[in-house]
Amino acid sequence: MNEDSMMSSGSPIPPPLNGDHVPKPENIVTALLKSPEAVVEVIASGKNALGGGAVLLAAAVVFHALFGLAMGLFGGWPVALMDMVKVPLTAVCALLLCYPALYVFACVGGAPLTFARAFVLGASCLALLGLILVGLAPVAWLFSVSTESVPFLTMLVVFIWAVAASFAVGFIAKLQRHVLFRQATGIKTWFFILALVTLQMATCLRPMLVKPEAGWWTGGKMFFLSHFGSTFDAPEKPKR
Amino acid sequence: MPLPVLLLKDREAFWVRVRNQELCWADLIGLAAFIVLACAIYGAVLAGWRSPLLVSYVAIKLPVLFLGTTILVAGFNWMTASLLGSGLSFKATVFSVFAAMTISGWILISLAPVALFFLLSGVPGSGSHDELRYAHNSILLTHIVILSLAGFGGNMALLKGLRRVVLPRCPAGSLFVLWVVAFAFVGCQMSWILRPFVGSPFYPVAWMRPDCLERNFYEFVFREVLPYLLTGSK
Repeated sequence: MNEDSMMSSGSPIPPPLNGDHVPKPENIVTALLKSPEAVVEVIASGKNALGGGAVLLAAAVVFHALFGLAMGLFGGWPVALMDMVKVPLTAVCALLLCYPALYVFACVGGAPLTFARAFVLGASCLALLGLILVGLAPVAWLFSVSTESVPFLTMLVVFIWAVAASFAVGFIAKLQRHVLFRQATGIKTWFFILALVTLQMATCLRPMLVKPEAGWWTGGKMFFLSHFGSTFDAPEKPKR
Repeated sequence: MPLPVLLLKDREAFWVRVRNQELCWADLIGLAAFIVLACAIYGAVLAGWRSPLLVSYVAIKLPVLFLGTTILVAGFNWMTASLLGSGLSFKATVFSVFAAMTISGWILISLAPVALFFLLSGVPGSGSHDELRYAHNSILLTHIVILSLAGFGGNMALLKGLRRVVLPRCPAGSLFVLWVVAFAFVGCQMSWILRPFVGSPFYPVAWMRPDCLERNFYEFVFREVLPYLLTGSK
């Protein structure tokens, strides 16, 4: 039986690779941008996995905070500072909720991972999302300070996030070049779930673009489809 | 390694054991226990928005639904496997189906936190008629997506497994289709009898509906759903 067919049915976790091309934790964010294959090696080999994963997660938090700042300036500095916490919180909480699913979906999909490898994979997806969000943060800032329309900015932010998500999916596709991840369908399906959970988490921590009436967020349960639909009922931001 | 874990991390080894008839009936109990646990956990989340009483009901009913359906189609599965020349024993056919359900169980357990989060953050337990209907539909949609993913994952594992364990002359794809159709046909009726699962806000919480044995799922589809879809009115 060849190796591919072994992998397609959920084979045992391969032994660690020699790790010649594994970047150190301090260089892993640069590697994610310039040489994603090196990060794939970290995930596949398990070498520096926890250190690298922690750095990637920290980077993801910072990147999402910066994007939150740019986006939140739509509602003024108080909202921007609030979004510096809310946006990374949304991303990290969504990842935590979906972490068991990542582990199981990867195994079921034929790419068995250890918990540590799953952690690096999740953190690298989030860090890559954050990187693209930071890259597009100036665009978000430009529109956030030059428009009064809540629906427009909501659509713009969702569009920017979708662009970032497409790069993360591209990163998952790159995983397939490695023998461990020939079957990445499970991981791609997991990313779809992560996207839905992120949207619901953003709904849970609403509002993101305007100042809440009291406290940090609006209470009350709401489904994300209803929430994003309702943003079109408030065409202009409240006067400060 | 316990069989449910083996199925998650090294399915090839599991199918080799099925093919070599190395599994005994006692091993099946381990798989059944895992399926019961997984279905009970997800069942509790499934009904979580309605009432604690329904939570306990569905935590019992969901394992009954899955295992009951499997038992009802076990004989048919073995006969079709024999007729198509698979070379599978009755025990091997049962293990194959339980393997698929174990994979589905893993997916359900892994997504239980996600379903619970949607339940806690997105579904109000009270409100106007329209709000409750929207809440019910939202949580129903969430569960349909999750259960579909679990079903798809389990079935794909079953298909790949069958291709490994049947004899070369047996059309594994046809056998798989027959098994899935039989399971779905019986499963729909079982779920109809055992309803409610999610729990409509407009009906009282009950172990089973009073009319559960008065008509079947397919009568409902052909007499009420299809005419509604075709004419736009009841």
